[in-house]
Amino acid sequence: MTDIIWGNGSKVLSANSFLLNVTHRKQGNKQDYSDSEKIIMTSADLPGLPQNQSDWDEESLKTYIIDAFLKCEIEQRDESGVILAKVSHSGAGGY
Amino acid sequence: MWEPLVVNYSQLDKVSFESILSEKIPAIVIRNFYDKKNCQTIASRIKNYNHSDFQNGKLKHIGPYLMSNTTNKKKYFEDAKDAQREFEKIFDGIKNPITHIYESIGDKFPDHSISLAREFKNDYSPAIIRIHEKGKSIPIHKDNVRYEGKEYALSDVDHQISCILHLQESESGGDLVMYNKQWKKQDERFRNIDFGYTSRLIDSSQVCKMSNFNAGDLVVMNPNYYHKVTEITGNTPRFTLGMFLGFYRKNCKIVTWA
Repeated sequence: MTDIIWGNGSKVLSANSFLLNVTHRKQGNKQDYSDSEKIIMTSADLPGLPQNQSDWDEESLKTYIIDAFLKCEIEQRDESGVILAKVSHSGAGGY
Repeated sequence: MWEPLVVNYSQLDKVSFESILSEKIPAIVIRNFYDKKNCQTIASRIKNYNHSDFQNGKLKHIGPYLMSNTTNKKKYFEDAKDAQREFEKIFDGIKNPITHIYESIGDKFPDHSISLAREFKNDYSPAIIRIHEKGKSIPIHKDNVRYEGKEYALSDVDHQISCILHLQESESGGDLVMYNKQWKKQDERFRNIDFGYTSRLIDSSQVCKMSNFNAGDLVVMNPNYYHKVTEITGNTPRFTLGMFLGFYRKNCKIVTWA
């Protein structure tokens, strides 16, 4: 089972990476996650963000990442401690 | 006082909907907006819509809603096409409640056109019928197409309002609670995992509780205010028909979708 963490994007570091303030962790995660994690997006499913990574840029990524509530499905943590993850927005309309 | 305006349908000509757009009141409740007998007809058709699913409590809604397809436009528009056909069946032979909402809201904005939203020849979903069984509640949330509907053309609307027609009420529960606090992006740190927000967000906000809805009542509200629906506690499921209206003030245009 994939580890999952959720939280709010706090700082965009590059065209495909950012800092996540972790607010929720899936019960049963195999690894521990700190309150702030550096994430590299291997793919993304965020409203408005192009699917094609070559269309991403640091400036426009801020619109989709900063303060947004994000779900990160973790693929791996590299040697430097950075997390590689699939990033998506979750939530559906209600009343 | 922050409270809804409650009127009877016969008094609708005296009501200004600008009070919703200008955020002076949380909601307008229009009693007896839609014929009760028609509500009963629709309710009975919903129960027979997919009988086994209905009896098993699997049927939660009829028609797609954009917010659950924020990054899947293709599916949304395909499902919207199907929904149009289903609604035609459900409203066959009776006054279409969606048309009734169009006409009534259209009358309040005579300088605006009103139509179902379209994008590249695709119709948006005209409405959603929600089925809320005993035990169901909807947590604190907002609806804001400008934020979550960024992939859709109508995410550039100037204002968004929500219309909810009550088709069948439960014996108890299912109250609408609104908080005098509008969503802003920084509030996303109060999000729950799957849906909605923690109650810490609205701790100090004025509250407005609307209950005792009857079949045929229409609620018009600004969905950017945090709101929730309390748990359905009666045995009879609650049915509502919901749609959004988006206002383009410069173009004097109103578009609808669900």
